[in-house]
Amino acid sequence: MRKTVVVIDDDQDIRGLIQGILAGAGLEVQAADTGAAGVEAVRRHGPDIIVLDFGLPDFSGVEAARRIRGFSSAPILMLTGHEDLTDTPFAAGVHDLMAKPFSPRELRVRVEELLASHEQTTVTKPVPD
Amino acid sequence: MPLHAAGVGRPALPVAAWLRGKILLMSGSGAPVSQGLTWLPAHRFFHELSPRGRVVLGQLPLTATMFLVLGIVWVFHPALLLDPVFGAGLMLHALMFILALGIPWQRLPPAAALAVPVLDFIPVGLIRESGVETVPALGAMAVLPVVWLTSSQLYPRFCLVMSFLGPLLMVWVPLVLRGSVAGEEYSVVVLLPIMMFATGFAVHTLSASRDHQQRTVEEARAQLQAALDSSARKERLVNTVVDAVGVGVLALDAAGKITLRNQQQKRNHALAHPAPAPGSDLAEVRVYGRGGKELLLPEMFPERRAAKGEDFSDYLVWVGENGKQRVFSTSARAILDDGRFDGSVVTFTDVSALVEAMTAKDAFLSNVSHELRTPLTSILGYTEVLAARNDLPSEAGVMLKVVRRNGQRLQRLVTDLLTAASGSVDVRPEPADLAEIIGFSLATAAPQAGAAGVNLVNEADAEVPALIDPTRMGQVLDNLFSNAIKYSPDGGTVTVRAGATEEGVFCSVTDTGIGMRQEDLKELFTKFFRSETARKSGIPGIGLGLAITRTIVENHGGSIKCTSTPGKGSTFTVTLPASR
Repeated sequence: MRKTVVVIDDDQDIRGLIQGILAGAGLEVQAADTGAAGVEAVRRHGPDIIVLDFGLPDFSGVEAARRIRGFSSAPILMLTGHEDLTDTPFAAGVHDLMAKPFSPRELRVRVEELLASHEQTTVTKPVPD
Repeated sequence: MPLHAAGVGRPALPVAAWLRGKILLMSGSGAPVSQGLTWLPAHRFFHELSPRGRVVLGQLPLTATMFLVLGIVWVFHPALLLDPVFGAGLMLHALMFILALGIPWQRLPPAAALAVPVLDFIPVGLIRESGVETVPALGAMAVLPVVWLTSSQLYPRFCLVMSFLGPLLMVWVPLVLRGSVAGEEYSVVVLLPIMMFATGFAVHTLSASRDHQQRTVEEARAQLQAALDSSARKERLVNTVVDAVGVGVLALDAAGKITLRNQQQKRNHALAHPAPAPGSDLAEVRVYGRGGKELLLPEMFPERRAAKGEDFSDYLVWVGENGKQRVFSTSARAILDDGRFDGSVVTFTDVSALVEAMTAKDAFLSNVSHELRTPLTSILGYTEVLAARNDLPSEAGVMLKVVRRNGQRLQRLVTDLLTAASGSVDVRPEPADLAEIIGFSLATAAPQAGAAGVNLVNEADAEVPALIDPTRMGQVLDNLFSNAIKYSPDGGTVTVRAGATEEGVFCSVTDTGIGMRQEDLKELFTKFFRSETARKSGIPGIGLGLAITRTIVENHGGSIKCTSTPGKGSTFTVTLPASR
């Protein structure tokens, strides 16, 4: 079964670029252009991974991550054009950060690594009696 | 009625005070001297009189005594009035009084006035000689010139000698003139000169002591006055300075009560205490915490913290109503008296413009960072995706490389601008091989060098272990190589050398390019500086690369320097501390 990714970025060109890269990697891509739409898309599609922009028009990517964490444990890769970020994104449940501009090849590698490590964590999680 | 209130239980005070004054005067004690003589103002104004006034006043007691003697003789011994010697004594004294009045003493030296008491012994001697049989006490009048002489404090030895010699001549000269040869007569009368000398000596001693005390008091008073004047002058200066500065200054005493508030602080105070809103009689103190949104608890007001003895610096408070709000950086220093808290001084520096600029800068950085990087992400991302396809015409591949190279150049510029604007470069040194980083940077620079016809030569040691941040050091080398190639427009050679030294490691990049003038070298590492040769040659750049390079090197604990000759090229040498 194909893995699903939700891409949340307000810039149409970047959204298209990420969609193209990740679709090329064999993922099913759902896209959203605002924080609210992104949170809703995650709720609806229950993705295996989320690629989230730091700066969104309605609320910040950190806030979106916090809301997503309320109901989903899927790994979140945050993209940012801001240089000096504090630990806030990680405290909000973000797994990895990637600076813009990024290399398409690197994005694909990072997404695949996150998916693999998350899968491993889920599998090795002790099952309650 | 209580007994003491009726005047029985306590002595008559003026008499007691007078007596105490006299006793203290005799004992030579300090301050009470003037206290004991307050009933006699003469000692106060005597020194203020003219020289003539002083002579006349000095002579007056003897003149008054002469009048008294004349009255007594007139009433009880009128026969004596016919004695020519008595008359001569009186006449002589009258003449001397007239002379005392007439002589311009102010033109003569002060000691000249001593002639009067010395000459006084003659009329006193004449009067004593004529009337000693009928009024034996007449000789005692000699005490008046003696007191004058010995209290003058002028020529003390002469005056003391005269206080004995004057009365002695007074009693012996008549005996000599009478032709007396009996030694007993001479010895009997010598008692008077001895008594006069003793009196003169006592007066001299007391007078000297009093003069000394008076001088001491005068000196102390002058010193006190000088100290007071100096203190008043300093206070005026401090008040003027405190009012002239643009910083609000507040001083508190140990109880927290305000003892000083300068003009600027009065305006600041008015800002924090606006007129109460209509319908409300409670004025709210408009002092807010960080961000200027929430009212500060009164115990967190700077002056309250200072009153508790706290020392602090750069404590920010927002003062005033919305729209008129100002930001103050406040500082407090406790005043200590022998280690005990004795108040505090609080300063209020208006940093509104600075805070506004910092906020604007942060917002600008955040916006620019996002706004510039978003389109770059698309440009570089799509270029890479496109370049990876193998169905493109060969020219398209070359053109995509151009797009990509320029996109990367723009990305570097954005990074440099943002690094320079944020004012800080984060460096995390770790053990790494500088030679390896040089290799990577050379590989990165190779296409640019190839296009410019520049030959890259690597003369670095095979391994150069160092404690460095590989990414940041890569940035330094990229900058140095990029500059070396850029400023060699006619081709040439760029040589890199690196190795260990006694102090640490070094890395130098030498080019054979256009070089720089000596005056440009001084400003080379300043932000936005571009050398004259660089500007004239039309080589693009914004003058940030070397400023950032220096910041990175210095954050490693190292240094960078440049030597250059116009037309021959430049050498940049980075020195870094040893790795262990």
